[in-house]
Amino acid sequence: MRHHLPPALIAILALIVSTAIPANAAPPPQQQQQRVLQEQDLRALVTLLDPQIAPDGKHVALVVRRPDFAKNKYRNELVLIDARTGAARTLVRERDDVSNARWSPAGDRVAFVATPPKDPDDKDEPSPQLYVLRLDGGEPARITDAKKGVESFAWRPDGRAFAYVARDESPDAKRIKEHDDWFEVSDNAWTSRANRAPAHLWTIDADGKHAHRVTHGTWSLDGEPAFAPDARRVYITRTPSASTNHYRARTIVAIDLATGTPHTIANASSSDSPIVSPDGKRLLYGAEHPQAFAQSELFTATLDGAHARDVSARLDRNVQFGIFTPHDRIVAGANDATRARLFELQPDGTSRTLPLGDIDVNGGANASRDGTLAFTGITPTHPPELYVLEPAAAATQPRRLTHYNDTVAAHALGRTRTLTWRSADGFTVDGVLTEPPAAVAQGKKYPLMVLIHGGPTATSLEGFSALAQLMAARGWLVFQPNYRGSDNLGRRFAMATVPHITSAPGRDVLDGVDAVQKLGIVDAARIGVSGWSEGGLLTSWLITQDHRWRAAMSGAAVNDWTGYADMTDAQDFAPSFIGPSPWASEKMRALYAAESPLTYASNVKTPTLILTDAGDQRVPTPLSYEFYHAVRATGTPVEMIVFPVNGHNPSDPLHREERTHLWIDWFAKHF
Amino acid sequence: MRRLLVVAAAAASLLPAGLVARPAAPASAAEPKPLTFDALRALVAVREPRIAPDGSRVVFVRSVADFKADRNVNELVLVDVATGARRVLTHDRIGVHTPRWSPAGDRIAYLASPARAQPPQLYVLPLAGGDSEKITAVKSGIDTFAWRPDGNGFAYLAEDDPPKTKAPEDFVPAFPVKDDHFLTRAPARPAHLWAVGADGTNAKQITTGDLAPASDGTEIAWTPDASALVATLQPNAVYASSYRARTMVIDVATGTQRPVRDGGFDGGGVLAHDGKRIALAIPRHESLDFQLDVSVRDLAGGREVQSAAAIDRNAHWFEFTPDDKTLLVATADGVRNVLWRYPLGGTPAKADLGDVDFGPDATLARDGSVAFVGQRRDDPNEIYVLSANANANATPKRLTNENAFLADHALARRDRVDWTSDDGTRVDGVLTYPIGYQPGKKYPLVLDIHGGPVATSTWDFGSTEGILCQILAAHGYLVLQPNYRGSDNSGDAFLQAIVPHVTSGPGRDNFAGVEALKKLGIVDETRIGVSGWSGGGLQTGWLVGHATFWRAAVAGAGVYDWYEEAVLADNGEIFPADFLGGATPWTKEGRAAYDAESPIAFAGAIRTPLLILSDTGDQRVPITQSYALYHALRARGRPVTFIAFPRTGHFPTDPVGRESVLKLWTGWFDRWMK
Repeated sequence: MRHHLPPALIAILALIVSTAIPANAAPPPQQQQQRVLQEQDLRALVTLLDPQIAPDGKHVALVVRRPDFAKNKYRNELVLIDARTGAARTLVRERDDVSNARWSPAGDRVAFVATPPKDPDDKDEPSPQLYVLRLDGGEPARITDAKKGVESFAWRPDGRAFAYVARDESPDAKRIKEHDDWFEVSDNAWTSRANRAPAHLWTIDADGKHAHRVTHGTWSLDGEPAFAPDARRVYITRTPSASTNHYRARTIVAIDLATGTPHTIANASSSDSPIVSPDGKRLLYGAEHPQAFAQSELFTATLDGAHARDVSARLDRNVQFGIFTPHDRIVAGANDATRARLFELQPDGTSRTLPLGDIDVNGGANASRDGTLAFTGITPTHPPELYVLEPAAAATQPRRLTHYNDTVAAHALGRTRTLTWRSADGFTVDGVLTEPPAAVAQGKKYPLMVLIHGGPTATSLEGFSALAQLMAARGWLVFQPNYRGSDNLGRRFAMATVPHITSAPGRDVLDGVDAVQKLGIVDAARIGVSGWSEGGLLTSWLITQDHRWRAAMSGAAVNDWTGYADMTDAQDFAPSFIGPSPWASEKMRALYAAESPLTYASNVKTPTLILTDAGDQRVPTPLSYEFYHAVRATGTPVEMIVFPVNGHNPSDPLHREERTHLWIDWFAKHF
Repeated sequence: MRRLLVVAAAAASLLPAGLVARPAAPASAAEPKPLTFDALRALVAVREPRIAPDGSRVVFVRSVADFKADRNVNELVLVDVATGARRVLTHDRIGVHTPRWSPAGDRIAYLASPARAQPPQLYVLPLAGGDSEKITAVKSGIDTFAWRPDGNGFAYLAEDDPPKTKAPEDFVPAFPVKDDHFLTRAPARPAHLWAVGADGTNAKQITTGDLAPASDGTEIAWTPDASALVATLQPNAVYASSYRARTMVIDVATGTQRPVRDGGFDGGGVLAHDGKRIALAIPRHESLDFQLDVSVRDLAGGREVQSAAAIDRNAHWFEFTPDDKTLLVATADGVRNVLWRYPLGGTPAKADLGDVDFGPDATLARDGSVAFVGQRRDDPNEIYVLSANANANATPKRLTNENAFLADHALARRDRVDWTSDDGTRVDGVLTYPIGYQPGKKYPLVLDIHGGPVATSTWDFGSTEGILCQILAAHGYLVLQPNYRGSDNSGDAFLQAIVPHVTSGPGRDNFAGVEALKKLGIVDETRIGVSGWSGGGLQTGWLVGHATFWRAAVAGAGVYDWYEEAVLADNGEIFPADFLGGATPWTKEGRAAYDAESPIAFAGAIRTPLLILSDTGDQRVPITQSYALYHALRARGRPVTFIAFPRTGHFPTDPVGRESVLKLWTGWFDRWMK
């Protein structure tokens, strides 16, 4: 599968890590006078997205994203990397949102999605369209003229047409144009100002002629389409309405291009975009495990949806993406303990871990016809770069093709290592400990920062984390616990948060901090705790349960589960992890309250910084205001700072930089 | 009264107004036409009547609605007091408001935006002829202004420019919040007083620091010798700081400020013409949430010369007569808006204005004649003048006829009704009869409950709620608008009776109102609906949670959870605490008191089909509470529909938005009760 959608959970710190964070270069044997990482050094950090290897394996198309601090935006370029030499040339420039590059089946063209420049004669804002770039010269040609933009697409196997997904105009467009723009709320987030229109399937010739609408209805499509080998059908993910807020209600359908009729292939909820095997006989898709919704697994089925089989059952990890290799082997990407690995699934259900050395895969991977894999990855000492791994026989480890982040990697970085501890109920829990760049001296005690990831379906890795390294550069130990609910130890661990979404992981974190303190290098008077999203939730909870903390930063925190359930866009989250609805019964109301830090806010004694975006649709901003008022009433020092932006994380370079600064500075002041 | 959850209290500004397309007079006395939303698009709002110093003319703001562009279009109109002749003064000005005569009466200054989406600037229009001249070019615009007594300059209030940074212009850095409301997107910026010459030169900043004009609005007044300014200011620009607003005297030369009096909130400062005394609105019970009494004080020293508390009504507007010997005070009283004359040292008397209600929007000429917005039962708002020479009970003279088209339409009869609550409290309200009402027949009943709670439903046509009543009457409903305890129409004791049972107290008054109407034998008891906005939405949420006889309900922008109101709304923690008897939600008992008065705690008992309405950007009653109530009902499988308006503010102010709210509102009752 391409493009695994992160389970629509709470904000995921891992995402922040992968986009906003670099690593450092391989540590030379003697680190003399290397500068430690400072906040402004991150301005040089380059983000790499969506590597696509050509069918012949000779090139990789890669989206390279750089911040423009003067304009406060990110700019994408589509870059072609020579898979042998690493030589790069820019294919698409000055289209800041270029994305979704896909090779034509013959490898002679690349199609992509980008927004055309604004036409001064047109009142409407331009929306993203499909372009084709010939690799024998010439500028990209625009293929579509979709009124509300193209969301995704697929080449037809013969390379002469596309299927694409485009959003409809609102069914209320006429009324809205006349300013009568009210909307009926159902599963909306509190930030809604309109209802979404459905997205539907279209086809179009590769020369831009004959745009043809295939499907209609109040239901909608999500993710990327995949053609059946005979090109008569397209496989894609369907949602029952235009809203994706009930994210577990997805199904996979086969759409007959002649009639537009969708046939359900898999009822599996939270299904991911399906792909078809090279031999054209099997479908591969991701779906939650029937008994463990918190873990996504890989399924194969015949083209009619029959013979569905969970092929990653024995791997027992949350599979983030799956791809076919040329010989119809399946490669799965998943977190495993504190690493992000690639697994080759064997026909007998066992799996072989691909030899990636110290590289953690970050993002997807894909394979050329000869079986070469391309992917982006991080190492403990280096931020994202592009790697290729030749077919098993040829290679024992990946080859790095790019050097986008050598500058950031050239700093003195802290060593990371994995730490494990036992929970009272028998889990072996792990976490990553990052040391200050200057090696830890015997007998010396260091401040400890507990940095908790979001999700909970995510994992803190040994691979480079800019935030952890910036904190380590201040001379702090940084501990990132993979509490239960993390997606690194299998379905039993992932499900062990149910229904105690806060207190059960919270106790794992406390046990982990105890374990770190036992190392004898922690200054017990200077322990801080912080996190964003679920990490913010756990921070808020930990300061109500324990008073060892010198300071805390609770970011975008779910301080109250009832308010969260009523107002988030991830409408299936709380019902899945806690129970049907806080309004279903007094018992449920009590359980929701018991797992909410707000219930215990009068216990807080830790000086706390609360951060949130003003328009957070995932973890509603009001939950931060509520916690702020409640802590303030206790007399405990508390400050709240708001980022005047929409979304669960700031998405512009300046606010991201500000967040990092405020986060670290709060502890610098209190340590 | 300016604060509050209330919407409808600000009657004039909420009138759905319409493009005037006056129908030709019917050739013969045709049947009156039914009143429809389409017909009401022609409504005209008039406000801010400013009478010339010599009393000969009145300038006012005339506002019509452009439904196509979805905005209100204002112009200044000049009307001759003697002849009623009128002419339009401004053309194609955007957002014209705040007309002010020059002291000599030869010019009119006003605020308007140079272009759409730009903040207002100060303009001066010479009455000797000629175009208006733009006097200021202030980046964040002018809040309010006052002519210098010699006519050669102005004082104005303007918000500071945003701080300059190296970042792109539209970049707003992260900022700390304290008592800010939950939708805050930028730090509140202070505003400062400036002085400027009449030609716009020599702008000079008078004040510095965090002070900001009172969030609920302030006037600026010059002392007669132009040495000082009087304005109501609060410690900072955050809305919740309006509870700490005070009337300040600002020295023009030095910028030094002093409050007129020691103590908490006061506002609305009106200088006597001799410049030695000032009238202030001072809350009887500490907080501006409660009844405001007028107090006349020495400007120097703040000693109280006379309290007007004997009027015992919440003061909406007040002014000195030219001889400074009488105070005029506008208040609600029963189901009407009235004018009181209070000779200092004497006793207050209510003016008899016949069938005209005195809108709290008025000015005086040097001869003592008063121009005001008057309202009648069949007449939304017109400009009236009360001559200084007429005897005390003379009928005011009507100067305009902006809504003549209403004469062609059937209007509902509206009467005062009163009843006794189960604890003996006397309550009144307005009863609107359905069009074609026949005694002896029974009609479906709809309650339309005002917000506030410190506000009053009056029987005049003029408010959004009055229009709603007319439409509901046209659809065949009886409509009851109860002035439950906490309303500001019956004095301090009645207002205070709402504390600490902010919801359940009014709830019993409203139940009793339904029972009283049933006894009249005019109600179809199987078809009773309930509705309201803001505090009326709160009541609606409460009433459907405490009885199941309701056939349908519409709750707009309701407070359903007092705790959320305390931590998220722009009023801050003070507003709920005031009405809940000082309780805070930070103790077990306090929280229990908040919950006990919150409809969300009783949502499980709701069986009535409920339409929930809210603006997405309502800072006063956060939409979060509507989300909670909606989920609480949906999870239990109860009939509920939730419609949101993508608007900023507590009630849509654009013509389409306002009309749409009322259409959905009446449509819901038609769906369930017809």
